Amino acid sequence: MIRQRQRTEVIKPPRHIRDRVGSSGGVDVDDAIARANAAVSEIADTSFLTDITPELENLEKAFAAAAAAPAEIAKHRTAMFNASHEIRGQSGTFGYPLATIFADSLCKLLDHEEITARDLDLLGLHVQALTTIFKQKLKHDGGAVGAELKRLLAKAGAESGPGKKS
Amino acid sequence: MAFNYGQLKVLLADDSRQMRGLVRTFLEALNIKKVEVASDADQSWEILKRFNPDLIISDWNMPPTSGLDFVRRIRADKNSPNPYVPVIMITAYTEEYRVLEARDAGVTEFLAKPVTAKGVYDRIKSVVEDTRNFVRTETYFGPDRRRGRRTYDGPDRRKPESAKVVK
Repeated sequence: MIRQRQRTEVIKPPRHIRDRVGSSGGVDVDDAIARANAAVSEIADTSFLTDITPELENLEKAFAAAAAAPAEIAKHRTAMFNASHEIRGQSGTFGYPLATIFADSLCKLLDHEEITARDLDLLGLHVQALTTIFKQKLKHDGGAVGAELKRLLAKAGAESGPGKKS
Repeated sequence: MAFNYGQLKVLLADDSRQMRGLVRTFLEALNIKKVEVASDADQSWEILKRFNPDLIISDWNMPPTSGLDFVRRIRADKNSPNPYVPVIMITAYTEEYRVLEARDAGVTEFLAKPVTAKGVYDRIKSVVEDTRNFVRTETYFGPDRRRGRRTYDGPDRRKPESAKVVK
């Protein structure tokens, strides 16, 4: 097969962001990052759990609806995905990396083409783990409880999941 | 070099109030005070036309449309006020096929969540130092997708010190 090369035009942008940036007088970057991190810590200690609760509730609600009608799991998939996607996106920033790990795993499950009613148990374990993390405020690695949650999910994931015969 | 970002105008597009607040905090720490925020792609487009930002930081997920649709519009719409504006795409998607999708939409830089202050700073610095030209083909318009990275790590035979005289 003969492949025809596409015509390619290379263009130098007429203006560049660099033209708007000075080479002196900038803030001390390490200091700026430290101040930003202090602000994040304050949010983590004050409003983050309140802010993330609606997403957790959306996830729990969508999962409960899927569990009540397993044959219609596909109808609730988008709602479950959207909520877990928000949780994975925000939690790590505010000191809950364990929630990001479990929400990421949940998103990948929900993104799988072959997900069916047989995967409800595994989905449910993820939802329970996320609920536990936020209710018990399991920051960072979550200590002994976090380790146990990780072990349980790893075991369940190895035994079942989309595309696996259980 | 400690760049001075104080004059930059930034459009920050994210449907999450928390994420908008967070990234704005990071920008203000870098003395970037001229920030306009939007919660969806349509609002972002209106601000883009009026505010003419030097940089756009956009989330991928912005129902009812997506941040990628917004980027495609910036690059392709004949009414776009600045099709060359750099775009940093923030997302929790980590799958390779999604990263490639973002690159092919014309995204300049990709920032994976969870977002950190250092991550935002590094991407802004990278955009400022980016010397890539734009490329237009029949199917793509955006920053050159080849970053000019060398893929060959072997000896450079054309360097004088590597040359051997054959007798």
